[in-house]
Amino acid sequence: MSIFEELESLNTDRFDSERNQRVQQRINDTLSTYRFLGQMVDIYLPRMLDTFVEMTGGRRPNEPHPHRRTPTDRVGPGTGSPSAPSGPGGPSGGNDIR
Amino acid sequence: MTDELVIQSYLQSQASRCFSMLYERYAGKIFSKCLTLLNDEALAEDATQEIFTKIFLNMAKFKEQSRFSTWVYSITYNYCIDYIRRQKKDKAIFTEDIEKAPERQDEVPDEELFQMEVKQLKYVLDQLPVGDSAILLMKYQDDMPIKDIADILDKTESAVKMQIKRAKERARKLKDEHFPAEV
Repeated sequence: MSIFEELESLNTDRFDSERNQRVQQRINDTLSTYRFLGQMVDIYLPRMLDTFVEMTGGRRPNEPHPHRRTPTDRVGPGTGSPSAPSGPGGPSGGNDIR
Repeated sequence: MTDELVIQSYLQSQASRCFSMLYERYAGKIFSKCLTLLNDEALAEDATQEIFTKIFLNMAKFKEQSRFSTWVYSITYNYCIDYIRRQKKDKAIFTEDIEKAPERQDEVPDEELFQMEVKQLKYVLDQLPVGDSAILLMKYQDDMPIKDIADILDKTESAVKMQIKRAKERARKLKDEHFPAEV
């Protein structure tokens, strides 16, 4: 064993089990805190961004544009289910004016 | 189980078993190096904790270009060097930065270092600038190749060789001054 290895061995002996456990516990605590903060960021950051966008007058990513209709928004002939009668005079059509 | 397999397993599962395995393998050695370089048990304990936290937070960045132990020790040495640099508010961490190199001197043989007693080596490493102590530990305690030392210290290989030579000269001088040979 070289003198450098001997020195390392002597120093390592001073890292007794009490010190070992204390350091390990502190590392675990720090890593748990980081994990918790990471989870908080994962959960809340997107919501905070949505809220911020909304507050500044923008739209949420999933919110439909108020002036743009999608095919399912159509009102009028052909909007019912395929089996339902369509067009004016249908039994339950949205255009029933009775 | 090799370090690399433990790391892969840790990255996939974040299992505390893997964390404990790596901790048990390296905690004592990291503490020892910190104690040699910082010369204070409480500081060495805090440093060991911070170095391990760094290692686990950056584990995904370990690319297996070097051995895991080399990566771990590079974080350890750089942490200690930066700590001393901050405390001294001085960038000089090698003998070369502090005093002018002598004109020409024969290289101190390795055997001369190895003939010291442990308490003498400990004294010498305490007195040397932190960079010199670190470079001697890398070379003679960790058996690192010059290339790895150069990568860790961000220096050229020839600069590292020169710094090892200077550190050995300085170590011999300190030893001769404080532990003169008995006649």
